[in-house]
Amino acid sequence: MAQEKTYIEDIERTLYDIKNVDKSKYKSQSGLTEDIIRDISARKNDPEWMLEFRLKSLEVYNQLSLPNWGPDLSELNMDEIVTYVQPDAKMTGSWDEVPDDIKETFDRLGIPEAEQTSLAGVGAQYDSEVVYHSIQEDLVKQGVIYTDMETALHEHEEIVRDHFMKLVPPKDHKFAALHGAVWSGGSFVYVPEGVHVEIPLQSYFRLNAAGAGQFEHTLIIVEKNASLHFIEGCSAPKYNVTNLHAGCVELFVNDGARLRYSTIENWSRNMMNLNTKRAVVGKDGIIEWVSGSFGSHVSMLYPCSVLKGENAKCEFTGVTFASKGQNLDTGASVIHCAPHTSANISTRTISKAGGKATYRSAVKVTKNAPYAKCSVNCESLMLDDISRSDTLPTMDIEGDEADIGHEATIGRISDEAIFYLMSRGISEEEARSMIVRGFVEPIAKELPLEYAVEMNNLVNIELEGTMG
Amino acid sequence: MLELKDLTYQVEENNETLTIIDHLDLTIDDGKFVVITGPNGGGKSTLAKLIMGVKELTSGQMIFDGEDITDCSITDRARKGISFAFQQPVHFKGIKVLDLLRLATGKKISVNTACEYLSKVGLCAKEYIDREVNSSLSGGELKRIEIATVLARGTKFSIFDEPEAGIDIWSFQNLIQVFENIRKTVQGTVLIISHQERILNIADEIIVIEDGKVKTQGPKDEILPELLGTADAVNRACSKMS
Ligand SMILES: Nc1ncnc2c1ncn2[C@@H]1O[C@H](COP(=O)(O)OP(=O)(O)OP(=O)(O)O)[C@@H](O)[C@H]1O
Ligand SMILES: [Mg+2]
Repeated sequence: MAQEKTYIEDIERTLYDIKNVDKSKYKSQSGLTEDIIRDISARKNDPEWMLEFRLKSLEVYNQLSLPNWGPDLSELNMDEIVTYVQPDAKMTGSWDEVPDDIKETFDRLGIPEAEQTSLAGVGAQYDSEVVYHSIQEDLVKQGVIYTDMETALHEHEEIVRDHFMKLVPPKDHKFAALHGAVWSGGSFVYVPEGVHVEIPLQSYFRLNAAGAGQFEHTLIIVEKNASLHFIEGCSAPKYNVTNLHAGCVELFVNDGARLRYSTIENWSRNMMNLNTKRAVVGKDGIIEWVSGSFGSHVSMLYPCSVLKGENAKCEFTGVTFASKGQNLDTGASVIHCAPHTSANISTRTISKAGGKATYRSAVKVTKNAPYAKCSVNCESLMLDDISRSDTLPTMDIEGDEADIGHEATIGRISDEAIFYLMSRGISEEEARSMIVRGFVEPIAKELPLEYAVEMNNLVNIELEGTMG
Repeated sequence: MLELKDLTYQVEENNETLTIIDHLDLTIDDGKFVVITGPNGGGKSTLAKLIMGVKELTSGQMIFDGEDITDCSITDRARKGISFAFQQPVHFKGIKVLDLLRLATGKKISVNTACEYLSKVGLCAKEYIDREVNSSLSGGELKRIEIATVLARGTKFSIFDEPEAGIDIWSFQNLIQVFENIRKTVQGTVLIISHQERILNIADEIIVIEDGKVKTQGPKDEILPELLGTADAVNRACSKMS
């Protein structure tokens, strides 16, 4: 069982909590005005169309209201959020050129080390800008592009223009519009037809500045019959003021292509994480999501898969762990738009110490999607009486001959189970984490090894209650 | 040696205090095969849980091998050598029969060793070792697996609460043999709660618990005839009435 397989010494949460002195080169004023957006755009040297796009998005933002469902967002005051924080660092392909304090941060997070051992490329963003990017030479030779969004916008303008916020349009919801207006940083990946990127690429997003927002944009295009595993990580130190993350991820998985998108989200407990992720999948293509949500004060995250081509597939595996002071509203949605499309959603949510975890699934089968197949399995575990877990599935089936299965369980750790393990000489804490590890095991085994280890550590830390 | 001194366990129910274990004194010597019996609701299971620490005493003292364990956690008691067979083994996601046995021994025992424990309780080991512990196993199977885990622990002091419950007649004979073997081979103290004559029959010592107190305690040869005598008397009385 988990105990012997991956029993690891506990890491310290303080790893994530180390703050650097704010040495940013430039910070926009807090709040959201046309002037601020013009200023960001000018500093980023946007093409004209991008400035227009930003301004349009701002208009949309001002028209839209906050969602009338989900967690309470009233404590978010946009007037107090600094939307653009430029680190005092130039984007580089050499860690030696990254300023010491920033490099040390990524060292602590194990990024350069992972780059040496298990990754084919790395992107590292600090506050609003990417400070480091690398990709293995042989991938470049095969035509793979992996770079920061700003570089992509200038060097591959046509591709970006054709895809940028086409899948997640600004009018989608208020925070998509916000993203369109103030986006900065993020990664761009292009995998040409038939190319298989065997080793994962990873982008890590670190927000250091207090009271700031991070709005990175990730755009991935996997051409026909190509494949990629992309890993996204994020963290921030904890502050007493609200920070905001409203990233946007757009994934284009073409016919016969395969993309695995793994995330371990570990924002600090002052973060409002209002993130949008969406994938469109062509004929015989496969999108696999692996999603771990551990951090944030409030989260709203529901990766969506649009199965557009015949026989397209979605596999979604997620785990959400809400502890004290956290309201994590996560889920997944699938839209079946073609015959014989299939989806498999499997999630685990855990809540403890008064945390609230809600899991929403939305499955839509359009009338163009006969023989769609979808199975949803969500399980929740509450570790005590003061915590809450909910599962809220919705289904909208128009297609004929659909095969839809849904299974949801909500349970508690019973005292009996804890007593049992203790009667075998195991401490109460270890007993709890053993049960939780067993519960998340199906998810953990989907993660790349280091991430499984990290998740394991996070679970242990959560259970020890050492986190605020 | 286990010494229970002036043990009391009370619960509050509807603003009333119920005394379940009532100033109970009891000493159990080392290496004995002891069977506790007595009427339903007499407090036997409660007593067993108090010994393991699964329930917390209201007052009194417990001494195990000369050491006061009154305030010890379940974990500490387990580490000091007390084991308890639950009505059912724990089950949670991902846990397999082999894991239960490994948990019990605290070692990464080999599949073969694990199988030996299962054979001892009459389970064809190979079929079970890799199975997940869940409702696909029958009540009797779960029960036997649980007994096997306590055997695997091999501690100084093992408690079984009605091990025969839920076991079919055919397997019952088998179970008696299991306990006879335990009696012969296990060095430590074995405490069984049972209503079964055939289990009472292999005891060194019998303790009768009634109304939360020790009613009698003594060697089997003294106590058993008394108990059976009562049962006979009741039977006779009943047959007269019908
Ligand atoms: N938490 C509780 N609240 C109320 N009553 C309780 C509680 N725990 C135990 N009891 C009562 O205490 C008494 C003793 O229970 P216990 O299970 O120890 O009896 P037992 O001797 O094991 O009986 P049996 O032979 O039926 O197994 C019973 O009347 C039971 O209902
Ligand atoms: Mg009982």
